Amino acid sequence: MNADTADTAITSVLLFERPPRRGWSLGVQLWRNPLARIGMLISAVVVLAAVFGPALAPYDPVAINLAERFQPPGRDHLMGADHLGRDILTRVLYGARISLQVGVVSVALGTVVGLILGALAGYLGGRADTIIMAVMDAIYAFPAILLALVLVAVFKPGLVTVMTAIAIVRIPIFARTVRGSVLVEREKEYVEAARAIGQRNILLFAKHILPNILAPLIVVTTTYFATAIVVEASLSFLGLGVPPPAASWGTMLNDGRKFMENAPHTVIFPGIAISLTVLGFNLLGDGLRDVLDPRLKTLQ
Amino acid sequence: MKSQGIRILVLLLVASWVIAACTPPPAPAAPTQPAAQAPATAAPKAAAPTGPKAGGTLTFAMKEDVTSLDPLKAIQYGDIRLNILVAQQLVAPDRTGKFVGVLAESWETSADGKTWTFKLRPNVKFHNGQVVTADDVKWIFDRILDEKAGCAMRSTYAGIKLQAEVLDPSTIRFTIQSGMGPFLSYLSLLNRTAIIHRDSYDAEGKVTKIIGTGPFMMDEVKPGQSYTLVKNPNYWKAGEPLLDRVVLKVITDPVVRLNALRTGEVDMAEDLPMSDVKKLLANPDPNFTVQIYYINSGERLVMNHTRPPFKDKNARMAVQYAFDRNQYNEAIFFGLGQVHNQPFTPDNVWRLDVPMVMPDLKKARDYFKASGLPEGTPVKFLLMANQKDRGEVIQAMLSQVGFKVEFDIVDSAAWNSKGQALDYDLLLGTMTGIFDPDRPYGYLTKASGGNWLVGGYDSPKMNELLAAGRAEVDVAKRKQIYKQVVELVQEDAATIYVLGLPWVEAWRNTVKDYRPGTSPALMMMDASDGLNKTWIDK
Repeated sequence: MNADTADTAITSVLLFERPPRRGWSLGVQLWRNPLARIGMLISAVVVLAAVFGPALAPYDPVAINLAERFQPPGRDHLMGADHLGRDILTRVLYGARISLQVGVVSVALGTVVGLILGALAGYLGGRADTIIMAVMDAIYAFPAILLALVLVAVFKPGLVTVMTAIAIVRIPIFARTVRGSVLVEREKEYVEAARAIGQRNILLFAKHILPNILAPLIVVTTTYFATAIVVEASLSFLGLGVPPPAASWGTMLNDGRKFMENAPHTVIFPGIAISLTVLGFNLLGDGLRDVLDPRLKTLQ
Repeated sequence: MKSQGIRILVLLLVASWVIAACTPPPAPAAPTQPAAQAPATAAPKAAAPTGPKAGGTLTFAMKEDVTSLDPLKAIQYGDIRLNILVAQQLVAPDRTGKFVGVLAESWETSADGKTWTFKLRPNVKFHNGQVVTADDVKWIFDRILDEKAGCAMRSTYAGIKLQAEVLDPSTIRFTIQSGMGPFLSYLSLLNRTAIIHRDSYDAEGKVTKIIGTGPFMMDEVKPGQSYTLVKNPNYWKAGEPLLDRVVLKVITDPVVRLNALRTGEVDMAEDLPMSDVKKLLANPDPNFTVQIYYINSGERLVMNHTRPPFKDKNARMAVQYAFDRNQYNEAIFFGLGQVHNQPFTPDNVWRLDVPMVMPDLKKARDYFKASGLPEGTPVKFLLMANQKDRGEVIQAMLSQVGFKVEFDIVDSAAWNSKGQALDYDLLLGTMTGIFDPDRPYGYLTKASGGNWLVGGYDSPKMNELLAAGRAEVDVAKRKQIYKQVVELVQEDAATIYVLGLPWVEAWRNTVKDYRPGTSPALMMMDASDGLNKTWIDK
């Protein structure tokens, strides 16, 4: 066998092992799943609200207007006004921006760090694996909200701290997922083949292993996107999240809590916003899991 | 199945919108100014009266935990609630503001006001059974003056060069070199000058159990949860108290306090949510009484004079004219506070005729321009978590002028330490226990330990006025002096006295013969009324 033949053989092995490109077909398959469809729609609404919220919002989110205080939902204020007369719809729209920002940044940060650590642990194995996973287990042992509370209490409360704290508490989950997948993939023939032709470790991982472990990673990312939003809302509810007067949904819930007997709309709408967003991203995550991991679907 | 789930979801959403939309709109917000001092009460119809019954336990929901069991160091609100039931002082003001004896039976003062001789009430016993003597009183004042003990009133008593001398077991003489005018008010500050037994202190100087002379004795302490007190069988007022036991339960959330009162988990509660108080005053609950009352107290907006931007008088004037007390009162207290420029109730002898600076946005902007500060000048507002709403309202007001207010929200311990280090631009302070103008205005000099609570304000003219006010005994002359003090406060925008706080207490129908006092406490400072005569009908 000459060199050219060997290369062709390896290339065909690699092509055979790689999953087919799924971009468009993934979307179609998701759309066919009714629950995933709802998830996609809700998530799309939240994303649109976050992007175009400031343009759509009818009022200034922080402008105080005591004459409008506690106005129930109606023509002027579709979701009513809060204890300082601020329009709740406007604040919900601005809140979507904060929630989405926290979701995207914290999950992205958690994913990148988790990916690197999980890949190192899974690929290198041995002592590196033991040390990295011991640290991950230690972090994972803490309840997420407790660890986030500690981190926010130690550092100054603010959007960056909240996002970092949520990312840190989620790193072990991403790292575990990646490590597990890498352990399976690294023993496969296409990896051996790539190694045999002298591919460097980094390239081998980026070009060959990563595309094959993306599916579980995408599922975990989508699922924890919703969790990140809940943790941010919880921290803001406790006064440790985004500083006032920014309109975080958690802060709005806490503000409205004192008045919910007389003005229930002050808690109903931010509550619905959190619930729907979490539901949307969870449904989307479930749908993605069904599509990307057919084995789980079969088991169900 | 799935489409049914979707239908249910849609139905739920529509239902919640309908529920929210059906909430009746609130009455139009009209700025209200409650009548001076007169308490507003929302009480259910009274049942047929029955005689007082001894015994029973009263549970009270207090809004703050006790931070120190040592009355001589206690400065926080929760401390006062506990101390006043357990410990007592020599003198205290009655409901009219006149000083009357508590542990002192009578007193005499020399013509120059520098010598004060107190005769102690006979046969008053501490909770350990020992009789209160002049020697016990001197021991307390020596302790306050001891720098190592770290007592709150040390700088005040050292400043007036106080000396205590025992004349006989029931007579004590104090000599002072200044402070003749407010001296009795100093002695009245229960939480800083309480006469407790020396055995209250352990070898390290810490108090684990207050051995006082009050109607109740300490029994069980669960920090952060509850403080149980039992009846003092040897109390010096015959037939008092009637209750066997008082449990002070720490419930920091006002909504939870109200619910605890509604369900009967507690018999009494303080500081309920203002929106509910307003509603309860209009439509009383059949199971409990809500009372709102006013005492000399105040919130003030403090600007840091020691660093930019408020080192500049123009910047402070801009805040003074941008700040709208009535709007603040409406937003935070639902109009139930009493806006003022001096922390005294409208009918108090020390409420002086000095017109209040009214908000004027144009003037505020002019002063801001004159200060030369750039638009969006950052201002660090030091706040505790429960002051968030207040901060947001003030932030909105100051943003109209050109300030960009940023919050530094911390816990009470960090608030104290950052405040004392003058690490803030703005903060909100509150004060109670005001019986004399020297207490609130006394902070306006560098010599005061509380100077950080007015932003480190320093003015030679103010120092002279305060020294004169302290040395003067004649009330009419003192009023003239303090009028100039209040005028100078506004002229310099030294600090902004915002409003008198609405004090709220509520008790279930089973609690009888309770009458709120003249301080945020369960007892009258002069040991009459309050819980002394309260009984429980269960």
